[in-house]
Parts: sequence; C-alpha cells; structure tokens
Amino acid sequence: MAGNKFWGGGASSSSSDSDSGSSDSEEERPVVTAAAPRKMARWAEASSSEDEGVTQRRVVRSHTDKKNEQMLEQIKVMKNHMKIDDFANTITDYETLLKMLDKLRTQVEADGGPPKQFVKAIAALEDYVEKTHEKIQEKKSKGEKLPENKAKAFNTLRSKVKKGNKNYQDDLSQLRANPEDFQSEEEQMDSASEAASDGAASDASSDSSSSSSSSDSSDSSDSDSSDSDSSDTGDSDSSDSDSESFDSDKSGSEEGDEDLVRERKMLRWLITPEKLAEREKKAEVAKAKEAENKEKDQAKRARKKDKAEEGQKGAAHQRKGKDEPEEYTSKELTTKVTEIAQQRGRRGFDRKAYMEKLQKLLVHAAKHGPLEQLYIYASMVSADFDNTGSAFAAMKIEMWNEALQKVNKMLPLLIESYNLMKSNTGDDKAAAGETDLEDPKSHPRLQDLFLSFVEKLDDELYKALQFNSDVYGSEYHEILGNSSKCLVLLNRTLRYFEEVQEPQQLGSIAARLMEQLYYKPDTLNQRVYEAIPHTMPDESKAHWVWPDDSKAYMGKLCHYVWATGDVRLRRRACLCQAYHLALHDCFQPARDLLHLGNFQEQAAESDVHTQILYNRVIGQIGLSAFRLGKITEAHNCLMDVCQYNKGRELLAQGLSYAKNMERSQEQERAERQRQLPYHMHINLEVLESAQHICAMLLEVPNMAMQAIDPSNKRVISKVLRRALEAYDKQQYTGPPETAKDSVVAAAKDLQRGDWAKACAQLEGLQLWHHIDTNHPENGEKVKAMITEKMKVEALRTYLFSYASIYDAFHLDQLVQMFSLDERTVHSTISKMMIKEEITAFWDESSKYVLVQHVEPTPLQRLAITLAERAVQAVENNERLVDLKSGGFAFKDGARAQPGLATEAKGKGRLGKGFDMKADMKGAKGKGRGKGSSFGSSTVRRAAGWENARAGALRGTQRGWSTGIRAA
Amino acid sequence: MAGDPVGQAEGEEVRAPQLTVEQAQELVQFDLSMRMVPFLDRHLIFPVFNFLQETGLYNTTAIQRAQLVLLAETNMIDWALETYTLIGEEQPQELIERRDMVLEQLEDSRAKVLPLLEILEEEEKVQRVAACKSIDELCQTFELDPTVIDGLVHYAKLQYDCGNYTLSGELLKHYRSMISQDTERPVMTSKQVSCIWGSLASFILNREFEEATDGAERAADVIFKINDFLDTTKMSKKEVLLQRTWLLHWSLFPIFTAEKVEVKLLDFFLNEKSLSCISLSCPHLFRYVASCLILQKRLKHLMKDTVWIIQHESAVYSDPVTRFLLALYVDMDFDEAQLELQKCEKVCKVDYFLSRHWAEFQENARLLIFETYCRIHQCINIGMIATKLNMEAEEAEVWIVKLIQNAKLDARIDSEKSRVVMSKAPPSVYQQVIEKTKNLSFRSTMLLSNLEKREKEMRNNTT
Repeated sequence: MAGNKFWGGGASSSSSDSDSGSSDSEEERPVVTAAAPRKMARWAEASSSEDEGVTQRRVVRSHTDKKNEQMLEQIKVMKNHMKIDDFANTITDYETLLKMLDKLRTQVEADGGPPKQFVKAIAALEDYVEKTHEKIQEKKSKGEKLPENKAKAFNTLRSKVKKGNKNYQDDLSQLRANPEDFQSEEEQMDSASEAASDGAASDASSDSSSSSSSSDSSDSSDSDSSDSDSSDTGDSDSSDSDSESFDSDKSGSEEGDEDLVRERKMLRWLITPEKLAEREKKAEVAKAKEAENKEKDQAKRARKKDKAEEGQKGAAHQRKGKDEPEEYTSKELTTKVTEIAQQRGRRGFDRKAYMEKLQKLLVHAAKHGPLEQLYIYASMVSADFDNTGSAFAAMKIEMWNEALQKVNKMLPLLIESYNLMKSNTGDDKAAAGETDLEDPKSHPRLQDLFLSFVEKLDDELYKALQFNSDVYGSEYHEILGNSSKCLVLLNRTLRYFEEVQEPQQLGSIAARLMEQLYYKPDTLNQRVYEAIPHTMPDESKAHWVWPDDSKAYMGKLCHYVWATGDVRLRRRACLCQAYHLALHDCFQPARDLLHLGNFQEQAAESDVHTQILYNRVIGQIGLSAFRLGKITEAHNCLMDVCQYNKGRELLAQGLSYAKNMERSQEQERAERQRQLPYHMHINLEVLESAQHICAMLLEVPNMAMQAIDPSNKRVISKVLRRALEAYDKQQYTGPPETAKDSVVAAAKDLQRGDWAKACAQLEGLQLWHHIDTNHPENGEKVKAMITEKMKVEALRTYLFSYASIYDAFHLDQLVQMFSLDERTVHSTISKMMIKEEITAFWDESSKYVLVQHVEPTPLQRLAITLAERAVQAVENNERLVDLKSGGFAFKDGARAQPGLATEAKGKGRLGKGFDMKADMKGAKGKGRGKGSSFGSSTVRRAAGWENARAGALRGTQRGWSTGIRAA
Repeated sequence: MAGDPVGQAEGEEVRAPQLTVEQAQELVQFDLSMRMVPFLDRHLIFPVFNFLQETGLYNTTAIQRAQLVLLAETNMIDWALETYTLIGEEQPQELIERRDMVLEQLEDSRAKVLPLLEILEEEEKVQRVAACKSIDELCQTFELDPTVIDGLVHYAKLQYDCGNYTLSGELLKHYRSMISQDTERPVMTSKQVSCIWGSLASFILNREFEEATDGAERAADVIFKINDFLDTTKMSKKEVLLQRTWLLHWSLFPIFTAEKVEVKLLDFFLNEKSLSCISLSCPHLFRYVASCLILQKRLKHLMKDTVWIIQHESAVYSDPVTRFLLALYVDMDFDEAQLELQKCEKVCKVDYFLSRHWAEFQENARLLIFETYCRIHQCINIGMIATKLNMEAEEAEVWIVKLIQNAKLDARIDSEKSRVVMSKAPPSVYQQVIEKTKNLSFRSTMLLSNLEKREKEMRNNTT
C-alpha cells in the first residue's frame, strides 16, 4: 500500500495535483519501467483517478478542503442575500468571498484558475446586479425611487462587482460559453471528477476539438460521479485491494506494462472518443468488481487489450494532431514560441510536453539563425526554473543539470549571434540600437537573460549545498561534484564576455567566479582544473590550467569587478581577493588591501553577507599571521573573530546557541539563510586553538611582568586569564580534554618557565594538521616556529619572575635552560634591557647579565603614578578640545614646536591619526617607572600606525556583530 | 615622466671600466635609480645619469643611449648631437633639422613676450609691476596684450627644455608673482600648478638650496607650497598621491645634495603623511628615511617610531640601510648591525644621493651602535668595541675620549684594564617625576589659548 499512501498524501491537498503528479511520474518513467515493479502501483493509481478520489475523501480533509467548504457556505449566504435584495450584505459577502479566494491562492494558482463554484457565484451575482440595475432604471423612468441608503448600497455593489469580476473575466467568459462545464459540480467537491473534467476541458481546447469535448467532459463527469457513488457505498477498501492485485498482475507481465504505461500517459493528454468508451468500460468493470471478484482479472485483461489498441490509435491521432507546417517564417516561429511560452504557469501545464514542443520548434529555428534558437532555449530554461521559488529549498540536482545543459548550449549560439551582430552593425548601428529595445529576441536581451540564467544556476547550486544537512552524505558530495560544471560554465561565460568586452556583465561573472574560487587553496583549485579537461573537447583544454600565480589571477578578476562600479560587488571582490591572499600566506598584501580599501568601515555599512565575508577574511588573515609567526597581529585578528564564543555566528558556520536569547522565527530564518555551505567553512577549532596559543605567548610574560610592576594593568587576553583562574580553582586537575584545556595547561607550564612540558602539551593538537590547508606538511614547520617562540617567551617569563632573586645570570646557563642559541638569548635580553623591562646590564664580556636591584619605595611609586595621572588628565583635556574643534586644535601648535613630538599628530591622510597621538605620548615616557609600560605602548602604537594607514582591525567586530543580530 | 631609459641601461649591462662583473652585479641590486626615475622629471634624471656614469656601474654607452632617449623629448639638441658622436653613431638628419626648428620657436616665442621681458629687465618697472592689483591692471599700465602673460609661461618652458634653468626659473618666478597678486583668481589653476612644479625643477637644477638672505624663494619654500596645495586641493585621491610621491622624490635633491639641510624640510619628509605615502606608493624611499635618521642626529626623537614603521614595511622594502636600523633597534644584534653597516658602504657608493655622505653616515652609524651598546652594558672593553665599530683600538679610544669630552657619554675610561666604565645610575624617581610633569603647564597653556581662540572665533561668527 505504500504507493497508494504516497499518492494519498500528495494529491489530497488539491484537485489538480493528480495532473501535476502524473507529469512528474512521466519524468520518472524510464526509471520505473527499468527496475522497480513496486513503483508500478503509483501508475495504476495515478491513472485510475476514481480510486484516488475516493481514498482522498475518506482519509484526509485538508486545510484547503475546509476552505473550499467555507467558500461554498459563503456562496450560499450570498445567494440568500441576493434573493431578498439586501445589497449591503451582499457587498460584504462578495468581499469575504474574494478574500477567501485570496487565502486559497496557492491552490488557485496550482489549479490554474478559481474554483468553479466561485466563478458561478460571481457570474450569478453579476447577472443579478445587471438585472436589478435594469429594473431600477425602469422604475426610475416610471418615477419610483429606491430609498437612498439602498440606492447607495446598490451602486457600491455594482461598481465593486464590476471591478472584482474583471480579474476573473476569462473564467466568466468560459462559463458563458459552455455553462455545462460547470454544471455537474453544483453540490459536490469531488476532486477526481473535477480533475478529469478540467483536464478534458483544457486539453480539448488545445486540441481544438471543442465540440467533442463538451459532450465528453459531461460524460466523463457523469461516469466519475457514478464511480464516486459506488465508492460511497463504502467499498473503498476493496477497490484499494483491487488495485493492489491489479499491480501484482502487471508486475507479472512486464512488457505489457510498458505498453500500458505509455498508452496511459498518452491517454491523459488526449481525450478521444476511444477514451470515452474506455471510461464507460471502466465503469462497467467497477460494477463488475462489485458484483463478482473472480471475473475481475479477465475483465481487466480485456480492458488492457482495449487500451493497447486505443493507445496506438491515440498516438496516431496525436501525430495527426501535430500535423504542423513544414516551414516557419521567422515571425511565425516567434509567435508560435511565444504562444507556447504563455502556457507556462497556466493550469494543467506540463513541462515535459512543453519541452517537447519547443524541442521540435528548435529544428525549425536552426534555419533562422542563433537568435531564434536562443529564444527557444531561453523559454525552456525559464520553465526549468519555474519551481524554484523558495528561499529554503534548492532546485533538484537533476533539474539543475538539465537546465545547465541547456544553458551550456546557449553559449555557442550567443557567440555566433554576437559575431553576426558585429558584422551587421557596421552599416546600420543606429537602427539596430532602436529596434533592440523592443524586440524580445534582440541580442542584448538574450544576453542578459543568459547571464541571469548563469547566475541563477550558481545561486541554486549554492543553495543546494547550503541546505543539505547531511554534509558527509553522498548527496552532498554529488552536488559538490556538480560545482565543477558550474565552474566550467562560468569560465566559458567569462571568456565570452572578455571577448565581447562588456564590463558590466564581465564584472558580475568575474564576481561569481571569484566567489567560487577564493576559499579554495591553490592545490585544490589546481586539482579541479586538472580534472575538468577530461570531460572536455580538446580545443578548450588549454584553458584549464590553474595559473601559477593565482593571486594575480584573482587580481585580474577583481579588476573586472571594479570596472562595473557596483559597490557591493566591488567590496566582495576585494574581500575575496584578500581572503585568497591570506590563504596563501600573503599576510601583508591581504592586510594592506583591507586597510587601503578601508574595509573595516565599509563592512559595517554593508549587508550581512558581506559582513560575514569580512569576518572570514579577518579570520583567515589571523591564521596566515599565525603561520608566519606574527603573533601579535594574529592575536588581534583572531580575537576579533573568536571572542565571546561568537565565532560560529560571526562566520555563519552554524546557528548561535545563546541560552538566554529568544529568537523570533524570522530571525532564525534569516540566520539559517546566511549559513555557509559546509565545504566553505573555516575550521573553528583551528581558529580557536591558534587564538589561544597567541594569547598564551603574549599574556604569560605580560602577567609575569605585571607581577613586578603593579602599576601596569594591561590585559591582553581576558579569555586566557579567566581560563587560568578557573584552572587554579580546580581541586584536582585532570589531563586536558579539549584543545583549549591543552593550551591552558601549557600556559601554566610556561608560567613556571617549563617550556619543554608546555610544548609537549601542545604536541597533540589538531591545529598542526590543519593550519596550512594548502600544504598540510607545513604544520610541522609552524609547530617548530611556535616552539621557538615559546622558548623565548619562557625565557622572558623566567627573567621577569626570578630576576629579583638573582644577582647575575650566565648566558650559557640560560642558553642551556631554554635550548636557544646564544644570539637569540642575547638579543632577547638586550631588548628587555633597552625597553627597560628589567633593570640589568651586560658585563664586559657580554656573558653575564648583572641584575640591579633598585626597587622604588611605595611612596616613590605613588608619586610616579600621580605624575602619570596628571599627564593623563591633560591629555584627556586636549582630546576633548580636539574633538570639539574637529581635531585640528593642535595642528598649529605642533608646527610651531616641531621638537614637541608628543603633539605632532597631523591627521593621517588615510585614516584617523587620533590614537596615534595618545600612543606616541605613551611611547615617549622615559624612566624606569614608566619603563614597564613600554611593551604596552609599542603594541598599542601598532594599532595606531595601522589606524593612520587605514584603520585598525581590532575593536570593530563587537559593534557590528550586534548589527547582525539586529538585521 | 620618463620610465624606460634606465630599463635599457640595465638590460645592456656590460662590464664597467673599473668594476668586475661580480662587483657590478652586487652593486646593481642596491641601485634604486630604476625605481626612482618614473617619479622624476626628465631633466632631473640627467644628474643621476651622470653620477651612474661616474660609478661605472653600467656600460657607458648604454647610459648614453638612455640619455639620448631622454634627450629626444627635450630641446637640448646640441647635447644630443654630442652624445651621438660620443657613442660613435651618425647624427640623425632630423635632429639637425629639429635644431633649427627649435631655434625658430624660441625666437618666435621671445618675440611675442619681448615687451614684457623688457619691462622685467628694468628694476623700477618690476616694482611697478608688483604694485599692480590684477592682470588687467597690469596690461593697462604697460599697454600689454593679455596673451603676452601666458606667452611668458610658454617661453619659460621652452627655455627650460633647452636647459636654461636659470632663465626659466627667473621667468616663472615673475609669472607666479604676477598671478598671485591677481586677487580675482584665488584658486590655483592647473597652469599655476605646473608653473610651480616648473619653478621647483629649475631651482633644483640650479642648486638654489641655500638660505637666501633677501628672502628670495628657494626650493624648500616651493616644496612647502606644493605640499600645502596638495593638502587643500580637490583633486582625486589617486592624483594627490601621485603628486605627493613626485614631491617626495624631488625633495630628495634639496635634502641630500644641499650643503645644509633645512629642518623644516626634514620634518616634512619624515612626517606621518609622507611616511604613509612612502609605504603606499614608493617604499624604496625608506632607504632615504633611514638615512635621514642616521645622518641627522637631531631626529633621535623620531627614531623609535620610524624604525617601527620601517620594520612594519620590511616585507615590502628592505636594504642594508634599513636592515642596519632594524638590527640595531629591533633585534639588538650588534654583529648583524656591523655587517649591514659594511654593506651600507656599497649602497652609498652607488646611490646618487648618499654617495657624498658616506663618511658622515659611517660616523653616525657607529655612534648609534656605540650608544645602544653603552645602554645595555656596565663596562665595555675598548678592544671589543673597536672591533664592533670596525676601528683600531687606539682610534677607538681617541674616539671615545672625544665623546666623553663632548659630554655625549657619561663614562670613564679605565686605561689600566683598557675599558670604559659606564657611570650608570638608574634615573632617580624625582627626575622621572619632574620629566613627566615638565611640559604639563605648557600644554595646559596651549590648551587654554586654543580654547580662547576658538571662543573668539565663535564670537566673531555670531556677531
């Protein structure tokens, strides 16, 4: 019964689903006939609609059915009101009726028109109104008048009806033309009969044999009603089981089945006299069924035989019906195509037949040049895209492939037509320009259409990947495999537009291509490009070499996009480029690109998707900085992305799961919609581990330094500090479980100066395998580099912590302890001396570090703090004045006093020079007390300089991450 | 501007007279002319070429050929003809023809502006010109055709092309003073802009860098004028950046070739805006930024920040000069610094701007090393510092004695053990507090005066 249920569920909602269902099943036909006899059951049900109708009515009363019922009710009420000439109420009735129909819109659209009852009702209303109007006029001429309120109500009604009915003009005229069509449905809502008659009506009209159709449809509805009568007697179960056994019969003789299937299929589209006979026979069979079960098989066989004959006849008839002229002129062809294209969206539209028709015309079109063919292809592809409206459901991949094939065929035609146009435009360019605008077949229009198809294909593929929840499943991989086809198409299109030199289209295609490529490391892209030519003809193989300098290639694409002038595309293109650069260890260029384009500010004002892209770029830049050992930069970037556990949300790699946050449905939908497909994700664990390691390398010595100098309160990483505190609170510390635990444990070891143990803690991290997606083997190098850094930081921490206890260190001793080379140790300690982080000096031979113990007394320390505060107060005042007077208050002053470096703050040309000023002041401070803040001021200065160039990376995310949520 | 001539010179590099191929190749990598030339005026390139010829870095004929390409666009045809004979090629006929044409043009142009030139010859009339409020008034007083004024610019350009920089500069000066008096035209027109660039080029080529007593214009002044103009102009950002880049390149001439460098010019060259320009469009100028830092002792206060920027941009540009600073101030690696300093000698040798400053450069660089060294050592062996500074021990001792005498160094020499002992005392807390609060009152006063100024402005605006 599985098959039966299948249909019962699918078709119960609307009367005409049986139509669309059958068209679906036709597509599946080859599959069905080939293998699965079980599926045959569907066929049987699909065609014997009477069964279906019965089961539906019994099993489900869907929402729409209820609505239909309500409408009937309303119609009745309206009729009653009409009878008593209650115009005011009739108006409200009429309006509610329209509203109801509006609610039923989805179904109405599926049906291709409003329900018959409705049409009838409004027709009756119209007639009634006209009659009443005449009457009133008559009365008026006699001198009688209606009461004023009544007259007013009537006038409103009349105008309303006129206006409202205009929308259903087609249906009304149809009704007037053949009222019989609407007759039988007076009281019943049996979907089966309706479907049959509908199909009959529309098919009949398209076959232009209306005379037979009217009789036939009435007949068929008769037969149907008799059917339903029979089912009303309560024997639906038996009929179900009948069909079951019927199936098993069929599965026995496969050959016959195929015939049957094909013929049935044809029958659905042909209402012939034979069919009538068949229907009668069917009715008879049904009766016979009731009477005697044993006779059934025989009868069915007979019926089958009949049908086979009929089928052949039908096919012949169809051929005759399609007896089309051998030759078309260009104009005729266009009108014909337009005519066919208009069927789209109508009731009973069948994609398959539609395609066939167009396919046939294509042969003729070939004689008239590429434009005609393009036009036909365009109509076909549009039909392919018809069923893909939803934001959450992607196109089926088979459909996608079909559409892709057609679009692929369009491209050579487009090139051909372009060449034609180019040769033509020489003589009458102006004329061509004028006609182009109106003609739907002009080259530019078709080109635009083509472009939009390509974009749509790309979108659908993205969507398919986005909403496929099982990312490890084979389906996902299949879809992903298809992306190479999309890549091929995009590349070919790009070359076409390169040739045609249309910057606008070229830019948008280039942007698409960039989005396809930017997140893939070179090795992957290269492999894809190597694989593609296997499916290609020889002549285009040359194009499929992934450029050695992929960054230059991306740059070229980016230039194409820039030419369009579209702000959003430009931003995205630049961000893609930056991402690609960062992915390939070009930290500096990527960062410059972001800064010079002032993207941090731009990202704040662009759409959510671009913001996400910006976040991805920041994350990737952070990773590349990490790989290159630029720990401070890496930490700044990564902290922005990972802070507050928001990484998942900021990178759109999963829904945020904040506990105490309520989200409305819309918010959740919006959030789901911006999720990235899995294969584009940045590994969050890598991101977080890298961030924690950076934090450890920076924070551990910083904390040690703060232990000697309490006036320095700078916090580098809150996360790590909190984690360390939590670690200390633990009664028993178990072995680390997560990556974060490992880093925290390592930080703890580092605090003790035990670098070897700390490195051992980090040994097992996943990070090292995934840090360099391009060359996984580089992970070892990164690890070695980080180990070196850890040794240095361990040395620094050691010195901070224990310098006060020792009088002197020997260089060799330190070298041994931290297994660093002499030069590094010397350089590290020298740096600390210069920055006055420790008060120590080298002796004559540069072998001993002599520590000087001069700790200021508490009073002295307080005095220094006081002085610092005073400086700060003045600075704050200056800043206030600067703000009020637009930041130029000290410009003149600075000029006059060039020696006063603190005030030379000249506004950075490309950014704000504001931070700079404050930071330079910090850097200027001399003396031991302030010495410890040196480290801090240089780092902050770092931000200042970046600010001056274009704006720093950090301190921005937070602001707009809330923006995302609000959006 | 001319970009390609040097490309040819590089391409045809052949063994130079006094250098072996290896040496030349080693030196060529330090030669920046290739990267500088696109930002220089044609005429400004000639001195650079002359210098390159002297170094023998490139094949002489190659340079001469490049020079010919340069000359082709100028009117210095005699020189071009000479060069042809030098490289032993026949003088092309069209050049000789063009010579007559140029002479003719020059004559024409001169004839046109003759009345004006006559006026400018006479001291007394020049003063009357200065009194005129507008161009129209000027024309009326001297009964001149207004086109003559513009003709002056044309004439100046022709003269410039012919190599008469003095005359051209003089003429442009007159023109600019006339125009700037014109109250009706407050904004700089593009013509004025090109005039001002023209004057700058003339000044540079005339080597009029020296402080003039009578308040006459000098190169530095013109540079500031252009700088101000670029600050306020409404040109596109890209254009401003380009012009700024030119300006920075051109300002190398007064900075490095003048006898005495003007303080303001250095401030201009090292200010934040210039540095960001350099890192954006011409990172090779960081060599000169670094050189300025080394050569000019009074720039010490900028050292830390600028070195930081240089480090930041080290991925984009790095050469021995910048690496020297980085080694000394970032890595504290004195051996490395010493090595780089040795390489710097080669750099200076092939650099047009730095060649004459090598001695000074070395001296200052040593001093920097020594200073830093002193800061982190308690006592220093003279022998060791001598090797680090690439000097003899005796020489070093004398040098240190001098330093101590000049009170640059707070130390004593222990001659018995032949070492320098730093008299190191951590800066006293009192000193620190004083230093910190020293300028606070001044800054507060500044703040107050600024506030007052602003208030006054606001009052003016309201009334």
